[in-house]
Amino acid sequence: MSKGDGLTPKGFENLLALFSEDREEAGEKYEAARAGLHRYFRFKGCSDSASLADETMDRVAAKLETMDGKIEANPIAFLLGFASNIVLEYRRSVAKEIEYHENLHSPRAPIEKDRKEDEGNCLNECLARLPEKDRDTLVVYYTARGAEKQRRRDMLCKRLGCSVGALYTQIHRLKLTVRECLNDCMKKSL
Amino acid sequence: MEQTSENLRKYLLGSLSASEIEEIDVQIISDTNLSDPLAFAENELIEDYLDGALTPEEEDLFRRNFLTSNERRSMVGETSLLREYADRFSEPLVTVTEPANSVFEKLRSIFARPAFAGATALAALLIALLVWQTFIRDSSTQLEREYAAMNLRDIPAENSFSSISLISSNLRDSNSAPRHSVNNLTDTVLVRLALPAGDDAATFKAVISRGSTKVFAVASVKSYQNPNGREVKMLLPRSILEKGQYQIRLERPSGSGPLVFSLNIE
Repeated sequence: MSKGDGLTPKGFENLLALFSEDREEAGEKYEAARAGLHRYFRFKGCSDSASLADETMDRVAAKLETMDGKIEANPIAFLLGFASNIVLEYRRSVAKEIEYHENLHSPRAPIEKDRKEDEGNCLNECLARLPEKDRDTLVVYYTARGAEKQRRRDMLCKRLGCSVGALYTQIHRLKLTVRECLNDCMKKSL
Repeated sequence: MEQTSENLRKYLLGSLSASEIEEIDVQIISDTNLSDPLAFAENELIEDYLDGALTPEEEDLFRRNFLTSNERRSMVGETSLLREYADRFSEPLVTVTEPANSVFEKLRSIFARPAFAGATALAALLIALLVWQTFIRDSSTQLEREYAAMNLRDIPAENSFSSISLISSNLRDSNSAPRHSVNNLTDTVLVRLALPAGDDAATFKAVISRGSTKVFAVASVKSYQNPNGREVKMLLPRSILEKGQYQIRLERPSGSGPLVFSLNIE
């Protein structure tokens, strides 16, 4: 995918003007929209969503220059038009990789043995660093399968005295901690 | 507009109509409130994929539209690992709850008649005892099960654990047990126990006691050959070691006389 030329000062001014005539308000809206694009690319399953958000802004700025900075459309809808094109380009560029990786990570064809062993060892190490209560929470959460899942999670909520939403937030937080530790550990084992 | 979890799941799979997709796209860009439900839907989808619970169409969409980044592929791998770990260390009670109920129900229907009331009560008692003996009696804690698994693997010579080396109290004056400060110990402690010459048992059961109270047990620890003879290497959690006098008892599978090691924690 071609990379944008980056924002020129005039391009940036045009972008700000897209959001508001008030410069301060425009700056805040620009930052919010950039963060929104970041989320958008992440949930569209794109790698490096921050760079793609910048790429979108670059393209929008380039387009605004050809239009003397004036558009009638809702700014978010305008951004989305460019962002969705970038998603299509991204998907085309990774189509071949998907075929390769679907074999690598299919539940029926597990990750190659050595790497899996390293990952298993790293996971043991990372989970051993968690407080026992957090480790137990993860174990109980991930033990259940299919229909058993809900019952198991309700039981966990009761035990922890929290709502399902709070339980999910806790699991999400624990997974981020484990993910960070796993990445570090796997880098060391390479 | 509030999105249902089903809609978010379809959004991630790319199976909504173009206008529905655009509606969610705009919501994602313009506010942050959808991030948590979407992240939840992502995880549920990954679990369903690993469970093999997706329809063939969903599985195809999952591969084409969901597994499109290294991050997502890592999430699948990571969830798969967590599930494997959870399966290894889950609480045994969970797997016996349902079968125990169904067996009980069947027996109750057989012995429900009044003539069998006494026999029913007795049978129920015997069955409860049998279930307890077979499934629940395992009194090992989660931490013990975890360290049992760690001790089943070979412990590399190069490692980052703090180490405590002991020789058997059978070979020395037990009053001169070595002293170690708990502050110098890592979260997991490597305990090296020198075996007497000629002792070539490959595995032992280890029981750790503080005073007369058992504080920890490892079902199987392995012996290793080092240049000076054989030794048992065992990983223990620091959390079980408080200030006090400890005894580590190594029991051979053959049941012959145990080896006892003494240790003072300060």
